Amino acid sequence: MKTREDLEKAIQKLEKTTQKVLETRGYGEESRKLRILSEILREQLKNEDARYSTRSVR
Amino acid sequence: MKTLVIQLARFGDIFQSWPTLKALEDQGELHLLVRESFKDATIGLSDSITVHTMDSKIFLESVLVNQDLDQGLDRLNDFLNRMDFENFDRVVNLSFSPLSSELTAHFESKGAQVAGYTRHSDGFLNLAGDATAFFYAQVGVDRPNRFHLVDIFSMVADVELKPQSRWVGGFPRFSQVPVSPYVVLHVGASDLGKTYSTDQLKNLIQVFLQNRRENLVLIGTKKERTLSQSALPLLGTDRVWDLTGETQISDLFSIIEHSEFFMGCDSSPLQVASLLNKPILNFNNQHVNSYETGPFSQNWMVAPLEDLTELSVEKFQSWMAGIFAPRPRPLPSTDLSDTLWQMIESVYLGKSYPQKVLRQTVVHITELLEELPKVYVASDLPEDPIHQRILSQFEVLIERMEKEDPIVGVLIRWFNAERIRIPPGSLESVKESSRSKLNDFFMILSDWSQTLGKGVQFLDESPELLDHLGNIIKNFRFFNLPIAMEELEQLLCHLPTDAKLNPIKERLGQALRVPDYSLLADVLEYDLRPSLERPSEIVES
Repeated sequence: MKTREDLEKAIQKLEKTTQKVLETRGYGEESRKLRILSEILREQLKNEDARYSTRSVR
Repeated sequence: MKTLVIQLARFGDIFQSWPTLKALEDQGELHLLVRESFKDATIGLSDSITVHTMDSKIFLESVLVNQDLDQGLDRLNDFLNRMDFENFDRVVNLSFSPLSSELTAHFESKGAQVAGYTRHSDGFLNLAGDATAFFYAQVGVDRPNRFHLVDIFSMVADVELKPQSRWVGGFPRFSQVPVSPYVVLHVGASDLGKTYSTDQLKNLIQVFLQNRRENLVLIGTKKERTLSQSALPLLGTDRVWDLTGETQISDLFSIIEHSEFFMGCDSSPLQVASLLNKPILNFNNQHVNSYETGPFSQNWMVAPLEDLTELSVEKFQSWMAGIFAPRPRPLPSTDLSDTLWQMIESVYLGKSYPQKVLRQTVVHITELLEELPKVYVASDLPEDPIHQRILSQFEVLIERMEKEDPIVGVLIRWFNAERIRIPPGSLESVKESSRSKLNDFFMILSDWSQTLGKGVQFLDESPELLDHLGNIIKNFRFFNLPIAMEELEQLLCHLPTDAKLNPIKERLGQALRVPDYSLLADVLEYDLRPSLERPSEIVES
């Protein structure tokens, strides 16, 4: 059975991979799919009804 | 036009999307994406809507259990390819989450027009549409929104909700309910904090059985059965049918449609009852915004959950009168919440600015009007270190103000949402867009301060009479009669002797003679309060 700690480690690992792709190839299909998987994992931390969003203001 | 609606939230959100879905059906082929675990909330939708499901479990299994990222990506590719095959012209995201924003961005990259949360080409959040920007800024926990989610969804999708799309019907009768008239009581709620205690449930059922002739049908999930079963033995009646744990969510339409009315806390059965346009008695706690997620049928009443702790017959009868009244009673509000809503209406709908504000609001407006011109200049050359300091101090300033001042907070969140909508581009185009938003911010503040200059009133300095009046109204509404009568007596002694108040005093006297305490509270709230707030006018009921 996977614990919260396992989940957090998996998220971190996935986000590292995503970050590498973003740095080398920018935001596109590949990084988007990685982010989709990251968000699916991250939702398990908050229960499958996340109503937050990342905020970035220019 | 082929449209995909993305609704990845829970049962209640899917049900609240139904009116928008029905309205979109007229525009062409319609598809809906929901999570596998909530797909039962689509049973009962028109057969012409194609439902797709996303099962998070298969991705979690790959990445988390099998620790195989490539397998996870392959499975995701399969899912996205199946969806891409449909070649959607338009995607409406009603989910407002990071996950759904990435999915929407995927479809946008394939050429679909989008509405709702998506991403800019550089991966940052984008708010596609004014209604989406409104949702981001003003909807959610501790936010002052008063639009119902049903209407917000329709605004995001840019459809008009006519009555025929707002409600549904025509479901067959459920075989396990009584033939004679019955009322449905949902014994649970969507979250633990929103539901009844055993005593509250027992009190409600007891008073219902004493005062109504209908049978009572209890619904809820298996885990809510312990709550219903703990209350029933205390009552000893065969008029209560306990169906908790014995129905599927899709059965609710059949059960609730043929009931006389529905009672329950904030939950998906409440949304089903609303979709069926049943009269509703909704119990809520202070953390739920009933404007946003409460009942949306034509007849309803919202009552505080805590009132069930000591429930009198009079209070129950007042609720019954409320749910069958020609129009729903206004939801509880405060001067501050009314002001916040007025602020929202002024920023988003062009209505007049609030003139009743907090003392600190005036200070904050002045401060912003001083700072914004400097920020505007600094934005033209953000590389300059002095300008960078001005810009970062400005961000700190508005972050602080948003936390301290809920009224200015409405405007700051509007401003932030507008800045999020700025797409990536050349430095010049981004600067120009940012300065345009700063200018809009300044113009709104400037107009508002002119309005305040003509006659500001302060929320945090109300006359003594109005302080007492609020408490008296509350005590009459909640039938705390000894306290209410004593306070009313004191109030009447201190009322101005203005003859213009005589008709109001006469109406108070009439209500006392019946006695009709609900009417009394109404006269105090809708006749006397406005007269004390605006002594130059008399409010006629």
